[in-house]
Amino acid sequence: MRAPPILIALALATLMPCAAMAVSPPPAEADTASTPMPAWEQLTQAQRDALIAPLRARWNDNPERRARMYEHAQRWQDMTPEQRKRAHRGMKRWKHMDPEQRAQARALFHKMRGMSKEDRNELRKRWHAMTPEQRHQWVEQNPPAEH
Amino acid sequence: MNTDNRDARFDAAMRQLHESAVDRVSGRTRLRLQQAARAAPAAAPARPHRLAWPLATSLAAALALMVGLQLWNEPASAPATPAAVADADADAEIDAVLDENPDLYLWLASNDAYALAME
Repeated sequence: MRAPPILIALALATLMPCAAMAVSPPPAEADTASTPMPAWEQLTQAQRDALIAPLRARWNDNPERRARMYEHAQRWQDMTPEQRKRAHRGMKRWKHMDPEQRAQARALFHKMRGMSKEDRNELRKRWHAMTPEQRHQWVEQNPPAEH
Repeated sequence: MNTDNRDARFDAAMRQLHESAVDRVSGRTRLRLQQAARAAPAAAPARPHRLAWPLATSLAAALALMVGLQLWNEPASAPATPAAVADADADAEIDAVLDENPDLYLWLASNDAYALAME
């Protein structure tokens, strides 16, 4: 099963740097790395296949996660360029978080999403007053709806 | 050779800067500075340096110990190959893009989320 076009578009928009890393050229071709690569339309089919290979593998290897991947890909596409830029900033923050912090971020995000500003402020105050153990318990008691 | 030239140029520039700075100081101020400089050695009591060497030696020993402990505790793991690192990075990037809700990232970049200071 091939990855749907929306995922390929998403790959172009967000994964180019890592896809390029994944298909890093062998030493003999390393000198050409500084040569600017052409636009997608000018790439050969083999180059396109190489670039989307990691994405295709992820899609094929995880049938149970396809619906979610597709949904997330659509959301990325629906974002305005400004939103996408901010989301990338958030993604950078995410990358520097450890698993515990990520669990906290997921739980807090899902909890705060439907809250009024006053309720969010209230939760923020409570969160600051919590000990690490209390935060851990809070996360367990408030699992995110989406995993 | 180039370094020598650079050093000489820097030295000359600094000397020139110093000279022009000195020229701008008034004669009266210069006189007061000279008087103060002459009076300083007599006025300032000699500081006891008895503790200086033992303190410096202890600090050096503590630093050496810290470096040694750090080396001791570092696991002698085999270095990852660049290709393996690139693969892992690419995997992590794809996971980050597709596995998590993009709105979570948007939220993480918001003031609300920064105020929580989770890290």
